[in-house]
Amino acid sequence: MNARSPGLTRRRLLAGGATAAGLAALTACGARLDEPEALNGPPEGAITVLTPIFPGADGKALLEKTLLPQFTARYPKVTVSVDYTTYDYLNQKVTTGLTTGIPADVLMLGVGWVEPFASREVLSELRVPPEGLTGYSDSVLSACRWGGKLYALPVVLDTRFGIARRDILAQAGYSRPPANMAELRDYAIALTRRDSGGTLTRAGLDVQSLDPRQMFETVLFAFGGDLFRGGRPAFNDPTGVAALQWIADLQLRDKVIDAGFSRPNATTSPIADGRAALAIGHNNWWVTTQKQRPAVLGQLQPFLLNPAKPSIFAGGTLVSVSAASRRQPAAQALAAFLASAPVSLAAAAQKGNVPALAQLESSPYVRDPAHNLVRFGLENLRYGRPEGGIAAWLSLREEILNTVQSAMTGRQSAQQALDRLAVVADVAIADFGVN
Amino acid sequence: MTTLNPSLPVETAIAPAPSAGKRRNPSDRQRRTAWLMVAPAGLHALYWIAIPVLATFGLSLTNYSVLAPLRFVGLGNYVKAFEDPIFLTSIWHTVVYTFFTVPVAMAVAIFLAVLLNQQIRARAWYRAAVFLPQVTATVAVAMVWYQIYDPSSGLANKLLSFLGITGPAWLADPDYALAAVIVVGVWQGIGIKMIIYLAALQNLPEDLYEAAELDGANAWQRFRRITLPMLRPATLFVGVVSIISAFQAFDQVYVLTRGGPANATTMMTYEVYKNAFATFQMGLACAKSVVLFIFLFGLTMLNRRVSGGDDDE
Repeated sequence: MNARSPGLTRRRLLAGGATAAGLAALTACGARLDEPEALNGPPEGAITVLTPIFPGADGKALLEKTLLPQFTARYPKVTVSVDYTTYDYLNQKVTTGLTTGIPADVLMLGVGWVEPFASREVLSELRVPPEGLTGYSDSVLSACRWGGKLYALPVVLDTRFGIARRDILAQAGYSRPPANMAELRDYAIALTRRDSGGTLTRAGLDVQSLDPRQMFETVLFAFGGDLFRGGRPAFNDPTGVAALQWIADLQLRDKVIDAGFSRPNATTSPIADGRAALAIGHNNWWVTTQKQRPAVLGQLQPFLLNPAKPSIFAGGTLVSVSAASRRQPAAQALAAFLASAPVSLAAAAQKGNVPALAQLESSPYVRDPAHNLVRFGLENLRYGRPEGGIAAWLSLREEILNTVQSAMTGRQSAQQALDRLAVVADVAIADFGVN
Repeated sequence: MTTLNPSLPVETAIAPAPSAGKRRNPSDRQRRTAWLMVAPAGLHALYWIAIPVLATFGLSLTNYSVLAPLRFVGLGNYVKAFEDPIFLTSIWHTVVYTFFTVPVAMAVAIFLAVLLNQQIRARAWYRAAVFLPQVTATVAVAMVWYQIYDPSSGLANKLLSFLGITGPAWLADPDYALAAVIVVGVWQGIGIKMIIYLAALQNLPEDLYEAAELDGANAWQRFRRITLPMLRPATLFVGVVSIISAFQAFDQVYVLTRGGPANATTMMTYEVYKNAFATFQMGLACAKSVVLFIFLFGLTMLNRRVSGGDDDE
């Protein structure tokens, strides 16, 4: 008997391998070959929506039993299936959908995501009349546009700004929050407490409970800096370096907080349980505070980090339509519905976030005294600064985490860390090829 | 009837003699049936293993990024990967992680397996307790270890404070973060290794131990001269699987540190993940996957050679 199996010659193996690789490559390219069906016509058909908001059983019930029935009542020929995910896995879901050529018809994305996807024609332009954009903040809408066209609409917003514990400030003799960055540092130093063994018992300023990237950007904007200017890195200019050095100094020199004192998504919030006097925080921290320390809810006082250059970090969830959707009218209609005031308000209330429309400022949810962080975010949206701004943003944003950590742990100076990031950004921008 | 031919390998030497009139080679029909039987598994392997592996090799030679048109870049991604200081750091971290987790966890696993192979009270409970980390969701494990590593109130630093040592910020200090992740890796990996060793121990012939005892061998001598050599096949298996598993360590890093602080805990798999799903550089991620594969292949071959190869050699 021949030692070699008759069906497995080397030539056949090579041919099979080449065919397999070819098939895989074609599969990878296939996503962009599909042409959507006619853009016009009545909304109808089965569509899918991918969402990182409406979490948990409550979120599912809210979306599928309360909100979507309103949409399908208006468009009875449309059926909607929902694919839930979290922001941690959103990029994987989007990637998988694009790779397989079957992305969700309606995609909910983060701020900073429109630029890369729109520049590669993954998203459809939204056909919204100008009056349909009334009530949205210009700063947030800027994150929805690419090349002068609108590709997304905001649903809910995640804003970041300063938060002070009013009672702790009062005990220390302060009658108001700090009014500029220098004063913020002075307050932080004065309000820091350690026990006799040197263990930190109260951080003067908590800069660790937010994602380091977003915390840095909040401070960068407060310093008056920019991430990019003219499509080129601007974060390593003197303003950006000063912002990151200011953060690093808080931890390394001023010792207002120790490494590992807190972390993003920690189960307890230092400012809520009195382990921090000031924080750079998120508008939804009222939710944790209400659950864990309801008595101090009224003590959380939001403030602009630097009123002389007023800014807040304006992130959020945007809704867009996939260019590959074969049900464009239905997908466009659903996107418009998900960005409407009732959905925005319900979604914001479910997550403790800021609704995207100015007219919701008068809603009971926003006016609730317990939700003053939400109200502050909405009232200051005119100062909102989104992240992103370049098509290569997704290739870069993950690197900012390590840049900030490198400076905060003293591994690199702020200048070194940001210069290295600028090199990475330049390569990413060049690789992406569109700006 | 069985014939014995001393010049042939054992398996061949004791093979049943072909009976007269029976065909030794399978007929075409038998061959077709055999192919039909293996076809489902073969198709599964082709679709889920061979094609993805070939695609990974193929895509590593392109600039595939999901969003951009595919373009052949030759070995550009490999050059880029090896020019990336963070990827080189991740290789080093992976080697360090493997170097510490595999032997330590194997040594602890053997010790525990021998211990739990004795007739002790609540043995089943102890076995389950040791195996529990293996079947616990890494996210839950991470929550526990977050508490243990908390710089001010965590168990690790409380224990150190009894010795008069001020503990570090384990997960936030670049000098300690990798060590902290390694400890979690060791702890989480002991259970499965212990189970394999336990199964192997239970197959060891008792008469060897009885003979050794009669010869006056003490417990350590019995362990060193009988148990360890007899566990060699299991050790080879555990070693190979553990090295592969250590090189693929991802969960602990993802949930505990996200590769930080300042890239202090980034590993090869995390870099692959980051390139693929965070920065959408699929071609680069594929190239790094191929590098990882080459590492694993080389290590597995080395392990086989060092350990003496197959069980039946």
